[in-house]
Amino acid sequence: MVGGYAGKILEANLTENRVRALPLNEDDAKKFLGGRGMMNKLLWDRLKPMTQGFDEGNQIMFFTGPLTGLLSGNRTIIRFKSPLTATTTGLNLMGHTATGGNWAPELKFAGFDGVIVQGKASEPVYLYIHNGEAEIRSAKHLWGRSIFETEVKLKEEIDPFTRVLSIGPAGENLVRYACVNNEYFYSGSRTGAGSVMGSKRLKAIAVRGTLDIHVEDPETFLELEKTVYKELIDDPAYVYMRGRWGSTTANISSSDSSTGPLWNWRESYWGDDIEKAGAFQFESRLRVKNRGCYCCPTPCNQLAIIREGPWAGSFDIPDYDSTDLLHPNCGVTDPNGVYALSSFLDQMGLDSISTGNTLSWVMECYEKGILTKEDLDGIELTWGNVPAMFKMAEKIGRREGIGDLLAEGVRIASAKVGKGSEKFAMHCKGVEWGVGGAGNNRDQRETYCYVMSDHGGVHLYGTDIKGQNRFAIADSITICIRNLTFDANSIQLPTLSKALKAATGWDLLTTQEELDTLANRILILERAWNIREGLRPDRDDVLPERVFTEPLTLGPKAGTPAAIYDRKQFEADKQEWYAARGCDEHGIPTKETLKKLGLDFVVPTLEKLVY
Amino acid sequence: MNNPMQLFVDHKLPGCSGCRICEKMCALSHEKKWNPAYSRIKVYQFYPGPIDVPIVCQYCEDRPCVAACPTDALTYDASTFTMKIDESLCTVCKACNQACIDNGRGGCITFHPTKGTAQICDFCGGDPQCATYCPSNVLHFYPLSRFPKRLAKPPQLIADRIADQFYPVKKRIAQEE
Repeated sequence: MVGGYAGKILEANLTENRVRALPLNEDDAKKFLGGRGMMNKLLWDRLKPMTQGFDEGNQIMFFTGPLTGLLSGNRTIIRFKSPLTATTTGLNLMGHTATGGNWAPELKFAGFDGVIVQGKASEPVYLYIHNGEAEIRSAKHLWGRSIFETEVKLKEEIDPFTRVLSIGPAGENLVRYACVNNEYFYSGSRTGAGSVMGSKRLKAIAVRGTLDIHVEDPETFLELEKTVYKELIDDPAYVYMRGRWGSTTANISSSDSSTGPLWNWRESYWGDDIEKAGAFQFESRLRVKNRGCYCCPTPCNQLAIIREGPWAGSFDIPDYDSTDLLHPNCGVTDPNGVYALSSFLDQMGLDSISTGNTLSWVMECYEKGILTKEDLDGIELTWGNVPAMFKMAEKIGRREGIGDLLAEGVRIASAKVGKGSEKFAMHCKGVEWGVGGAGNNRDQRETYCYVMSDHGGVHLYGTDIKGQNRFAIADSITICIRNLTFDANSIQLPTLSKALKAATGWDLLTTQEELDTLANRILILERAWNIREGLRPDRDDVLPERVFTEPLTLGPKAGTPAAIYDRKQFEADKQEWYAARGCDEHGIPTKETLKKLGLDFVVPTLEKLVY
Repeated sequence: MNNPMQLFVDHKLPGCSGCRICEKMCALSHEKKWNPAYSRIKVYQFYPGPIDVPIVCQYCEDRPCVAACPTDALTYDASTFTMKIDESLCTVCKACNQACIDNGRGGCITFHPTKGTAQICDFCGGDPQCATYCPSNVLHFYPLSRFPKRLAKPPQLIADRIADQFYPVKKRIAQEE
């Protein structure tokens, strides 16, 4: 097998209770690298068209890439038919999520490039993978347990160095935005990966491996390990910002620059209130230490402990996106409350971004009288009411009472509630907005990041063409995007190309053009797959009403044209993206584009559907 | 006399990030393998946290591991101040590691995943790669071994001590009453 890859994919069929190893297709590896790109191809080949998120026929894939376990490659990329992402007509689309930690390298060390799970077990199971072998084991004793308990229990049961990817009660109860965690806090949170695992009754995947990774040119690669370490370590932005406050640094800066979410994305600027729970409060009251993913020289996760108040003793590793949506977006000013809630959501296995959005949407409905106290089972969900948020999150995770409706996500909930609440249901293609890239900018960035994303309103799609290409490549070779910005203090493109050459022996990504082509191939295949599954860009590439109709009234953007997104501008931005990606004016990839990118196998399918 | 240099693990806060670069560099420098399972240094993970505790041989002055080795595979070379393992003599009885644990130390000897033979830190011949590449300033190569055996504690105990550090009693800081 070619270096860098393990050469095998594990296929677990839970219905038939059997596992088998499939060979990795080298041609596909060359064309799509691995991770996200590879899974796009596998989803195209393996999944029956129009399978829905919770169908038994759905498949969930966990993949590594050519550099996983080498350099700082540590991302686990997860793709599946999402129960959350949907067209305006309710057909499910691509699901995508990624997580750091130690799980992906361990999978490579256990001798597999990826895991494909299909079918549905008759009773709860977990998958144990060890040095080229795998078995499906009973997880009856783990069912119903929180993510933390599951992880501790499995480590006790198997070996303390086992790496565990698991779901919590929310995933078991099929909350559409349930997450998958490894190492307690490292979430693959978006688009409902946890609920797909839950629908298959797969509680966890435990991995332990002691095999080596075959590298074509070990001498050169060893030198590259050292070069890359030096390229990354001297990053001043890391030492003074992410190294101390983690990505939560951006809470304050995004509010100040009027790009943060506030009160269900109604406003973007919170004045001095943002300091009440922002980075400085975090550092002085809560921070304990840095936590890093596998072999990352700039570990940017911050472990927090709540030291006072009713939640004293809970732990969390907060992230910008999750805390920003629980904190200004729900109007919370109590730092202990924000991080305690974030920790609670991790234990339940709920995506804190989608949950934050859902709670803020309910808060706005409550404020406007669309939902009453009776509708909410007696919970007074007012802005910033953390105890009420705890109660509501528990209800969502267990799908009790009103939680059953809210567990469907704001797209379905707002359609059921009606009364104009759809106008402020902040989602794209059913996925509640993350804030990282585009934020509350009300400009082209929102179109690029949320609307054009084939897995809905996620924050990690990229806010311009170049950024989207970088994300596609980073997710395919599975190096964290923060180490692959190609600015100063990042792995540089020539170094990356050398590393791929030394690992696999192939000349990949030697020029920027080559990178752009490869990224475009990955992204266009995603779009084509979604079109096969029912996406019609004309109808479905839309933004929530709020950004066009309600101008921002606070902060530097108030009273300027930047306070609102012009509809004509939005149409122009859409067309600009279609043109740049080689799609026609209806957002369908043209035949020429598909042929140029080597995606000929897509043409007959699209011919039947849209051409 | 005591060895002059020591791989000092600074179990402070914020401290070890659990990135395991030390493990990777160790495995690479000794075995040319990318899997940290081949490492002589091990990062243990404790919950709640995760709290990360790197454990590596501290070069104790009394060396219970050497005394426990039945075949003299594990020896201390006083001329170079390094521990040595003769793989051909090692019978994989794991008595060395057991002696380390029984004497209240960390269990600092690791075992080769395929051959099973004991592995112990040898400072990479004087330039320990783990300390060179530790991004969190936790691993140091210092001549400070006044009481190395006191530093060689079990990971659980070290984790408890770290945990004690992050439950401080909060006091108000004021310039005047």
